[in-house]
Amino acid sequence: MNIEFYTITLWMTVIWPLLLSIPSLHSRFPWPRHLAIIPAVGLTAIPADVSFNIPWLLYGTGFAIDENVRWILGAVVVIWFAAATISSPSKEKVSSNYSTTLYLLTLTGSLGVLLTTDLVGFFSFSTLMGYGFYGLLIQDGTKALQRAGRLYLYFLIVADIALFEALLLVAFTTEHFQYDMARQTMSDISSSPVYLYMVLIGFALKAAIWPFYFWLTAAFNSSSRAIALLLIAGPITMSLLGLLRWLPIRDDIYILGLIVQLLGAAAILHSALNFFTSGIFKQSKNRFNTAWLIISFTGLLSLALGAALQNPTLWQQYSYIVYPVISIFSLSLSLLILTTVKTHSEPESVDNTPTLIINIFHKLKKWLHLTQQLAGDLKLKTVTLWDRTGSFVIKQYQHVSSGQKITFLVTDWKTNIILFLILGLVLTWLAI
Amino acid sequence: MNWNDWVPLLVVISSLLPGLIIFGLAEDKVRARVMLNLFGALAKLALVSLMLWGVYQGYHYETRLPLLPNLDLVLRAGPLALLFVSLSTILWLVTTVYAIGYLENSPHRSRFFGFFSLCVTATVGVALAGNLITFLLFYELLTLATYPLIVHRGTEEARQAGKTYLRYTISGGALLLIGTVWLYSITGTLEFTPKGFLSNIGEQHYPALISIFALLITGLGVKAALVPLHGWLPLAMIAPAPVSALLHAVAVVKAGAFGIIRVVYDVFGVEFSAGLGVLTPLAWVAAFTIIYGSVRALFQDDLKRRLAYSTISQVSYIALGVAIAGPIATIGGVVHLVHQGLMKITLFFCAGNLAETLGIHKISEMNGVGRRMPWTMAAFTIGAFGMIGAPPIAGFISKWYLGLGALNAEQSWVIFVLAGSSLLNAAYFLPILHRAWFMPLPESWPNEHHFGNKETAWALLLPPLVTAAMALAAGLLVTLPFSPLEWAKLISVREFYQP
Repeated sequence: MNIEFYTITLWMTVIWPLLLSIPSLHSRFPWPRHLAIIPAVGLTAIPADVSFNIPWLLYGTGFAIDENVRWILGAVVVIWFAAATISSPSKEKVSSNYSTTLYLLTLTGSLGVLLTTDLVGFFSFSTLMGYGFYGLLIQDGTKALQRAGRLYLYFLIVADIALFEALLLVAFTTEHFQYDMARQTMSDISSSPVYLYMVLIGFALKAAIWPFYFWLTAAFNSSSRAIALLLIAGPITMSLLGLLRWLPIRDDIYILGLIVQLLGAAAILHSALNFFTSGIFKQSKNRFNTAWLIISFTGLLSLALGAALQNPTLWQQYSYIVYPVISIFSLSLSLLILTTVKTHSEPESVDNTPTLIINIFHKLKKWLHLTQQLAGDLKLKTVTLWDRTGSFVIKQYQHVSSGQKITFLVTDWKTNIILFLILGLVLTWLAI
Repeated sequence: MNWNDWVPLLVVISSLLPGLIIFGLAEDKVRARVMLNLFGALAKLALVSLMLWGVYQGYHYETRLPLLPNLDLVLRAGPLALLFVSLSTILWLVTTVYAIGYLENSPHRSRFFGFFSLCVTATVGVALAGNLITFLLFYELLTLATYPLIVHRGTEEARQAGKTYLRYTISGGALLLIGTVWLYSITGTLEFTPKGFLSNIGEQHYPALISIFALLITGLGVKAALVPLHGWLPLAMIAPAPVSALLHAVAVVKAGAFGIIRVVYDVFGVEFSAGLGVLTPLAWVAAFTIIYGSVRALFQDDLKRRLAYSTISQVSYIALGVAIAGPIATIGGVVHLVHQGLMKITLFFCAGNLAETLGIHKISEMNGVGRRMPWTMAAFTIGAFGMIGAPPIAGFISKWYLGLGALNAEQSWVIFVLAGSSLLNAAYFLPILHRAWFMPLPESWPNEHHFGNKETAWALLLPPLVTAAMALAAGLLVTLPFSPLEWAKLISVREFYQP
């Protein structure tokens, strides 16, 4: 009896928000966003591991919850509940319905990603979540959000294509798409490096892992608190989970492990320098820094993953820690967002290079003799970007307008990436 | 002849007879015309369902009538024929309902529905043809039956489009005829046979066979809109929406693509074709068409025109699947015959709804239309995402098997074509969805009609919802026994694994 009840709850966790997403249905209920999460809340309270297969759906998919998933589900449920509570749909009823539809489709995708047991199911729900979130992000229609949404969409499309290619490689190798079996198979075969690259690129784009962080900072700074929360509970957390589930750990990819570590180190350095030079304590209520916290966290995970790629035994021993770590981090970030003051304007920050780096690269770029045209473009962009993120930024703006035209030279993202890659390389080399 | 020998002929007659009667009906006999249309469509559906069940049980359905000395008119229900005939039958029923709603109160309805039925008769004949001469006959009948539908509006633009259509398709038909006669002169038979009927031909005929292959594929490539033979298709979108839907999803374009499958599998045989070296050029042409169609679609503001270029691109997936010459790519190509039909007919129905209800013809006029017509745009969204290849919609399954087939046949370059095509599909479909769902509503629509508290007439709304649901189901329930994928697998097994 209990098992049947548990199975129905597991099934309803995904199906119920999907059903409720139909506007003519959810408009009949009060608090549809909260109602949609109820089965998921129930599922977190179920004490046993539950699973079931649906052989007729897609290529045969299934849903399951175990100890690891329960950690993340718990965090996700809390965040979605908080987002549902603080989100304020438009007063106009029709657009409120659409907003709720997008919200519930994203929730369905997110829960599906979490609970599904195979790669095809994961990919399908992940696509639903991605496009649903895109809708949520841009629905307010402000310029900054439209720009952030576009950036997110480009990354999403490329990520999906990369993951689709990875899926094809799995299908070419095995008929089994369950996580464990697929990972095992892909760690044994020669075409696996291509698969690894595709998975790494796909999820790095989706989870905004450095150096693909631009959409995250843009989206984070421009969106409402509710959307910022969903960004953590949806794309970020689920993509990190995807990385854990899709990536085969094998022992002959030492170099790739080093590269991943290098990226992780660069991400942490970039974030750290950003915090120190922009005055993290002064701006503790700024969303801007929360985005950089995420980037530094994904950098940390990259370091761990890089270590795992170099030492699979170690990973097998300690990988179970990752799930609670992701959950706790998601919750902490959400708390940070909930306690910050709501952004009133439309900050358009895409880039955020600290002063120290500006000065170093000023010399370098001057030496490179960039054309005046290029310089002019970059300068204009810099002024706009730095103008909206608080007192420190205003200081920068004044600095530029005072006639010292050098600042613009170092604020383009390509430079940042190159710089931090070099620093990360040095750090990794030192660590070795 | 027993009952089973008559069934294929009855399937053809079930639309021919109502069509001929409709020609004689007065314009005001609306009820009789509707009843005849629906009766014909339902009768055909029942007969095709019977054949599907029978073939699954191992029964053989074949009608053979003498036509010329040593040449019979043959209608046969094999797995490939049934796949196409099922698609035509189901979508004809849906399109009939749509056309009834779309053409309500417009003139010349008897003429329209008469030729509409003839068009479907020809398509079903093409599907069931058991030899090349039967195929050719119905293929030409299709050309003639479709022309009056394209020029139905009677405008100068429609007449020009009709002339272009005739020029292209009659030229293509002529090439097909020359190829068929030449082939008959060498082989003495035109009977479609699994794995082809040319493997015993002497090597001295190989140059001639290569030329015949080129003639047949060029002839068929006109209707399949392979570049550079595609010029008629974007112009033909001037036709009323139900005709465009039928043209792009079921009838003309699909007849060309289906013909390519027939020629490669049942005339030449895949292995023999590969041995002749004719499949690689076909794959290149198909790949080029896929990219070219998508790039051209990007720059169209007219919605139907963008969809037309999208068809040019998407139909070539079928040719590509065939040309890759492997069992898995075959599944991808054949299943896309059905999947593209479901998705594209949905998109054209929706385009028709926008034009009929709000007077919207251009993408730039679509701002906020999702809020005014949510169900129509929901169906459009499913169709568009399916075209992009997003899971779990039908297009995902097609791309999956094409990609897998390419890996299997060691033709990895196809993966890049598919990835490029997906990117381009996203680039020309997502802006439409963005406009429809996220842009503010305009103050007024170009030419709005009101349908009470509904977004549009039910006869216009129901068909796209049904076909969108089918496109979704074809992806979600892909492993069920009667799914298009399972039929495609059956066809592939017959072609590659059965002795």
